[in-house]
Amino acid sequence: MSGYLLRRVLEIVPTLLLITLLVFSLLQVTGGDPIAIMLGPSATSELVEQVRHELELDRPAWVRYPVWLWRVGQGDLGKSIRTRRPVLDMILARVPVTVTLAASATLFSILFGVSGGIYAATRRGRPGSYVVGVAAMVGGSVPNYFLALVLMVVLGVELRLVPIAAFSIDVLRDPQTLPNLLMPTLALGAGYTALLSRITRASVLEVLEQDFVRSARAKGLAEWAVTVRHVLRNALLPIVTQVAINAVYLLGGSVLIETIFALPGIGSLLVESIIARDLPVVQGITLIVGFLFIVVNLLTDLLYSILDPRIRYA
Amino acid sequence: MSGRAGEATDAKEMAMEEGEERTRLTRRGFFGQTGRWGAAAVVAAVADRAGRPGLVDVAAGQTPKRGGTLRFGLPNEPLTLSGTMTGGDQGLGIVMSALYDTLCVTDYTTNTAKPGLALSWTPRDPKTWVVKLRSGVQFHRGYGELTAEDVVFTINTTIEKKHTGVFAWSSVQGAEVLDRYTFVIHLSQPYQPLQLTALGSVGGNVISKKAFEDLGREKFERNPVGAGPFEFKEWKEGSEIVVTRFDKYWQPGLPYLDRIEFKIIKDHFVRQNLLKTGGLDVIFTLQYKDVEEMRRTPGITVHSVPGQTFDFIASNPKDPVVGNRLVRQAVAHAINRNAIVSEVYYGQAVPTNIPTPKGFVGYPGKVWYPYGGDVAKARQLLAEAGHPDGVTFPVIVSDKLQLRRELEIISGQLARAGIKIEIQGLDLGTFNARFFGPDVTKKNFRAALRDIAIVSPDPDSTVYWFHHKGTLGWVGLEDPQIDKLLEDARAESSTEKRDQLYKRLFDVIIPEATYIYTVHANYISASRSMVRSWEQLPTSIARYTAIWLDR
Repeated sequence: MSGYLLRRVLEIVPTLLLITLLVFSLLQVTGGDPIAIMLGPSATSELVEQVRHELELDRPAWVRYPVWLWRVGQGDLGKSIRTRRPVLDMILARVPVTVTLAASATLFSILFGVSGGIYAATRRGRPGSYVVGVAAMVGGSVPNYFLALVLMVVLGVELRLVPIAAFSIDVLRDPQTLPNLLMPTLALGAGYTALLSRITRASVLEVLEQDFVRSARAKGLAEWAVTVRHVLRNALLPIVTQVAINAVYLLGGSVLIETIFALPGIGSLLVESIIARDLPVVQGITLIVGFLFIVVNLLTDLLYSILDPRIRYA
Repeated sequence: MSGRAGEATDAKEMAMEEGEERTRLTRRGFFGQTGRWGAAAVVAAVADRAGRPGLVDVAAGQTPKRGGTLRFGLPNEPLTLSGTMTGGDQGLGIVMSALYDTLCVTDYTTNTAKPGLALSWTPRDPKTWVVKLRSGVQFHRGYGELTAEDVVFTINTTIEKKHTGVFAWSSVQGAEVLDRYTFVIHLSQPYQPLQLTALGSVGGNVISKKAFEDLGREKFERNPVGAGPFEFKEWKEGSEIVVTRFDKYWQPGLPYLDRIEFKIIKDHFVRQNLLKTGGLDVIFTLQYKDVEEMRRTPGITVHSVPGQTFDFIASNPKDPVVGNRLVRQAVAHAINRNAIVSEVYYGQAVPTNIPTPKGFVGYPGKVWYPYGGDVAKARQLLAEAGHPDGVTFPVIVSDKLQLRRELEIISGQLARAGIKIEIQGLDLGTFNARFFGPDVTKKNFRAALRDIAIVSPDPDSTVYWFHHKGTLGWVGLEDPQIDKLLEDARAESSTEKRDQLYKRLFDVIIPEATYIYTVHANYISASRSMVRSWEQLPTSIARYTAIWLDR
């Protein structure tokens, strides 16, 4: 197990290097001069060149990339070209919003997706299961930005039940922002909930046909006990995998939802930075999100062995 | 973070307590309070004559009320709040106007400079100006009185360190202190737009020397110290910027508001709906298509004024197709500008042939290309250019919604004259890089549609940066006559002579059609009816001292 863990941890380094090299190269290929973008139409050529020199952007890309890597190795993600602020500070300022939204949408999808899936599977062929099936189809088909706007008009503008824009959803530090979380969570979580309910339903149905389930029922166990203790536990692997994948995607920030609800998260920062060709920020976000992606995947793999003792890593 | 949130809550509570106290005062001593408000109004009116138009809601015949928080919806987040920097599009000017007063104040009804922090500015000779400052102006957060030393520091730092606001100090070599309230500006060449473009725009913001030195440039950009009506309180990145009333503001009794919260909301739909549902009090910029609907919304007032902006198609004079002047003129004739005004801007724009709006010095008042378009003339010009069967060329455009739509409409109009354009939509970053290459050899477009906000209501701001050889917007049309006219007009001190010089310039550059101008788009904002004295200016700055809330 420890050998496996060490190998997986060591794999993180080349994977991250590859990701950053890819992003660095892509931004070089797409072109666009961050200095000209930042300074705008009134700047003279002299000013453009001076700022370029100050920011060391007059050096060739093959020099800048290793320099950037060296500094990252020392814990310095560099400074933003656009704002000249430390990249790490800029990213960390956006983390609470993105993490809160990701956690909330993930919890929402687990709560309703998993329970909906179990309900649909255990009541197969009954009206309730069709209701869940239709809801999952609708939830999975409607784009989240469209759902966000519909929710905003209905709940926010017409019924005035919840605030339209979230601005901030830092619920741990400011509990008053909790109601702001409702609409972004619904809009972002709907699609993942639908997906999770269908995976749960399929997985539970498969397990329900196993012999040990029949044995459990034959023993006289209550139906809930059969479902929770025997069925769900054996159906969990694909569900956990899907939850982990969802969570990682959400940690990258949802650009559309963040924009619609005026949420200052990582997704909107990434888009702003790509438009401004603010390479250090784009690189920093890629590095951090890539790192999170790898770590969550590793944790998921480790979780497998806890959920299913038959799985052992060597 | 929690500390900052706590401060914000405390401030809100304090504001509420103050508001309640004022209510009690009003009940107890109505006449006394009215007298104080009256005095404030007189002071404001005097200040008004000193050059800050529209400070008191005299027209409404109401006495302004003190207190309250204005929630302002911004379309963009500023990149910096240092008074010497630009960046962040429309959000910057709107926030900076609250934090900084400028040396000169632009009167947009006459497009002239009025006293602001500077009381007078006089040329000692064509290349030396003496500026006298108002005394008793205080910086925020106890940084003391604003003196000539601060102004000179601001100007010289901006120039020497090449802060992005340096463009405002074009032709300025530096400044020196004469006495506590007087300084001298040295020019490299006579430069008449100094008052409007330098002293009245971003260049006119004065930063505290001591604060800048104490904090350093990076901290100062996030914790600015100015001498405007509001002082900086908090910046929640990507979310909001909060400013609070500056009690030692140099205009006694002003501003009326206790606090302004600038909420950053990029989506038009959300911003507009927040205004409708009471989540915001003022929003800046509306979707043009929604203006009429917002006008019909009870409790909302829409403010739309012809903007100091222009949309244009720039053509590369070295290009094999659009390098031909006759082809460019054919394009200029084929465009139906009236249709752009109605179809793209829903009536919220003014058709034009030139970059300079009506009311500016040098406005020629003549039309080279009919606003309704002239397809027959365009076809004739194409035939003369040797393209009787038409031409095809690509036009780049950014992802700005109305510009994409404008180019689609232009494409249809040009097709009727036999001119086929291939629309190349680019994200703003790529577009700007291709359009504003650091020099003309690095520009990478054959034709491009874009818009520009004019820095100051001086004709120099509308033409110099695009038509003078070597400027960033210059597309490569080499004509010594154009350069000379631009330089002479910059240097000329007589308004009448400047007017004639710009009219002559337009007679040269408009027929060249390297830049084909289409419209001046309006600046639009909307406010809730309880917001009084909100004035939409023809540019992306705001004035807050007179605003009050009629709750």
